Formats: sequence, structure tokens, C-alpha cells
Amino acid sequence: MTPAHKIALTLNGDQVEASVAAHTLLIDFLRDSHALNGVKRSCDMQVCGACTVLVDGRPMSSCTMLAVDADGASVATIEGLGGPEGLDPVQEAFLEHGALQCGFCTPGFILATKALLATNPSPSREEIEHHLSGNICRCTGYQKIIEAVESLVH
Amino acid sequence: MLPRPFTYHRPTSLDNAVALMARHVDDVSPYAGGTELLLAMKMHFADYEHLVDLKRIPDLCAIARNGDTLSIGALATHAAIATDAVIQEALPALAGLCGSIANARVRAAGTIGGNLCFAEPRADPPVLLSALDAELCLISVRGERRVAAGRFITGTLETTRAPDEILLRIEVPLKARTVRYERVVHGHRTVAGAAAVIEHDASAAPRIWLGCVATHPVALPNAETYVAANPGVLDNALTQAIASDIAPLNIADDEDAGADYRRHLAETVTIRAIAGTVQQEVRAS
Ligand SMILES: Cc1cc2nc3c(=O)[nH]c(=O)nc-3n(C[C@H](O)[C@H](O)[C@H](O)COP(=O)(O)OP(=O)(O)OC[C@H]3O[C@@H](n4cnc5c(N)ncnc54)[C@H](O)[C@@H]3O)c2cc1C
Ligand code: FES
Ligand code: FES
Repeated sequence: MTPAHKIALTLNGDQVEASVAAHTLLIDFLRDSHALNGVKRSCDMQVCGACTVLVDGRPMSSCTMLAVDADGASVATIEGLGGPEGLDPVQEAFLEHGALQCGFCTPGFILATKALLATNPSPSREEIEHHLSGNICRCTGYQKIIEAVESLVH
Repeated sequence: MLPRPFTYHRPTSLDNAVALMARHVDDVSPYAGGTELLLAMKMHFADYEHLVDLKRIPDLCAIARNGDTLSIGALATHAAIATDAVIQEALPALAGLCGSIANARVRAAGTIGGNLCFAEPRADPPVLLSALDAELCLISVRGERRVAAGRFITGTLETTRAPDEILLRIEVPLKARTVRYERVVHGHRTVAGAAAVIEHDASAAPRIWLGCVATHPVALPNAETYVAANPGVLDNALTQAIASDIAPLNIADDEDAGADYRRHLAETVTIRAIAGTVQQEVRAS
């Protein structure tokens, strides 16, 4: 067995230390060790975006990233958004615009949107579509999702 | 699926990385963004005893302009290249390409060096970098070595990189020239991509490269000769020159496109790339 690696990261704002095997994928670390089940596995090949997490603010496919790579990083999952005082504005916008049906893709879309708005607070419709083109939704037909994101652009 | 267990090394200096690569040369792989490597390892297409993570080595992702040379660290991600002010100004065609590759997550993790070293036949940057006459700088315990981008990739997933070599950076000569890359994407990958580079110095030959259709990028010599003799001319004879370059290429059917269709697209993207340089020159003058 390969030796375990000690990692320390900030996970949804909390300091976390863990010991992981080198071949552990970030998605399994998040789901199995931390019950962060908003991180979804679907395609397992970086095309659907269901497994999106933010690593130091950047959107990453946790299905194709090693947990050891998160060492020293700040990782955010959907569970880290909002709080007792209410939902995150992006979550609110998705709710208001009916931008979800089954909800399987929603954590990924919301985190991808957070990443987009953090670097480009007023994206054009074209930029929104380009940025979200790596997230797949089987239910909504995308229209409502794009509208929800557009509503956040001032 | 999960990758099979391996030993993970995370050097924080280049010297250490080079030494690790030499020590484990029999069964080692450099590891950058992992967007290709981890996929291959998850599917058990590839297995290595040792992975040497290059991401914590300082400066390997640096992007800088030194006089007439643009230097791009091998660890620069597609996202970093797309948004880098120096590249946007000096080589907008490369910034534009890297900003449109794959999706936001792959662009955030995937590096230009990983793209070149994996030598996926449908990769775009090798086509453009070959046409730009870029050079790759590699390092191993034997020292540094340079190789022209156009000679680096020799076949499907095959390069001239020795098993213990690390790609350090890509150097692109910055000259007065008009650059255009055109591609057609099906599903998630490019099915044909062509680059045209027209030097403003009329004595320098134009460079026209085609990729994503056969096993690796190739120059189109008949098209280059025609464009050199007939600058700005987009006629039937140009199409024929391009077709004669494409005819001998070994193009196969795959899940994205049939061979005939690919040949057709290869011709189309090449004409578009050349036409694009003509339009840019008209606009500039
Ligand atoms: C969904 C999807 C869509 C894509 N679409 C496109 C597209 O449209 N066009 C396109 O061109 N590409 C596309 N790609 C490929 C993408 O560009 C590459 O996956 C990425 O650039 C590889 O970089 P990496 O850092 O992740 O490499 P890794 O996966 O880490 O490594 C890839 C290979 O290169 C080696 N390597 C990496 N860095 C070095 C180094 N510095 N020195 C020596 N060896 C090294 C590794 O050992 C490995 O063999 C796509 C990929 C995906 C997953
Ligand atoms: S499960 Fe990771 S991108 Fe689809
Ligand atoms: S809401 Fe069902 S997949 Fe998007």
C-alpha cells in the first residue's frame, strides 16, 4: 500500500487536516470523509460539471483531481454557501428564476457562476454561455439558468 | 474508476524534480493539471509507479516577454494564458485559443505543457505553436535541450521527450506577422484545426500547419509555396494546393468524424485560416 499523505486545507471555511492515499480523488474525499454529498459524480471525465468545487476560487472537476492537490488550498462546495442568515445570492437567483428541476446539476452551476462573477462581475450573455458551457443540465434547457445568472449582473 | 495506487512526489525545487525523474526513470510520469493523465489512469490506460507533481516548483508557470521572445512556462494553465495581458497583446491568437479550449474547469487545471507532452492527436496548441516556429526547452540530469515545436510530436501520444525529461517552457519568437488559428469542434474535441502565419517580412516564408486530423500536426508545403508566390490570393489553385497536401495524410475514422468528412473539414479550416490572415491584413492597412 502506498503511504498516506498528510494534507491540511480550508474546507468551506473550516480548517481540516487529513491523511489520504495519493490516488484518492478529491470527490471521494469530500463525499466519503466529509459527507459533502452536494458534490455529484456523473460523467467522471470533466465534461458535465456535476462535481464542480471551487479551489482557491477556481472551478475544478473534483472527479479528476487528487485530494493531495488540495493541500494548502481553500476548497468550497455548495454546502459552504449561504448560512443561517439565508441563501447565497446566486442560490436565491436560481430559486427565483426556476433555474432547477431535479437539481442534480445545480451545485455545479451555482459554483461555476460564483467563479465567473468573482472574476467578471458583469459578464455579457455570451460570456455567461461560454463560461457555463462545460456544465450539463438534462432538465431545464438552460434558458432559466442563463436568466438567473443574468439577473445577478448589474 | 479509481487510479491504481502510486507513489506521489511533490518536489518544491526544479533540481529535486529532475533528480526524482532520473531516479525513477523506469516507471515515472510528470504530473501537472492531471486533466489527461488522471483520466488515463482512472481508465487504467496508463499506470505509473511514481508521479512527480510539477505544480509546486516555483516559476514553472511564469509568462514573460524578453525582447523578441515570448516565454511561456510549461505549467501555465490555459486560463492563465487566455487572461495574461502580455500574451493578449503579443499573441492574441494563442490567448483566444486557450480561452476557448475545453471548458472552464479544464482551462483552470490543464497546462500548455501537459497539452504538448500528452500529444493527443486532437490537441490544438501544438498546431499553432508549430506554425509560430516555437521552441520547447526540456531539462533532465543530462542538461537542457531545445526542440522545435513542429518536431516534438511524432505520432499519437508520441513525442521526442525522454522518459525523465521535464518540459520547462515554450519560447515563441515575436515577429511582425499575421496569425490565425481556425478549428471545428465536435462534441468535446477538435476534429480539424489549422494555423496560418504570414510574416510581414516578404522574404520570410509563410507557415501553414494542419492538426487534429491525422496522428500529429503537419506543415502543408504546397499551400505554403502557393501563398508565398500569391500573397492574398484565395482562389481555386489555393484550394487545390491544400488538397494535394492533405491527400497523402493518413486520416482515420473515429467516434467524432469519418475520414472523408475530416478531409473536407481539414481543407475548410485551412482555407479559413489563410483567409483570416488576409482579412486581418486588409483591416490593418
Ligand atoms: C473535456 C476536455 C476537453 C478538451 N478539449 C480540448 C480542446 O478542445 N483542445 C485541446 O487542445 N485540448 C483539449 N483538451 C486537452 C487539454 O488541453 C489537456 O487535457 C491539458 O492541457 C493537459 O494538461 P495537464 O496539465 O492537465 O496535463 P497532465 O494530465 O497533468 O499531463 C499530461 C501528460 O503530459 C505530461 N506532462 C505534463 N506536464 C509536463 C511537463 N512540464 N514536462 C513533461 N511532461 C509533462 C504528463 O506526464 C502526462 O503524460 C481537453 C481536455 C478535456 C478533459
Ligand atoms: S463528474 Fe466530474 S465533470 Fe462530470
Ligand atoms: S435540473 Fe436536472 S440536470 Fe439540471
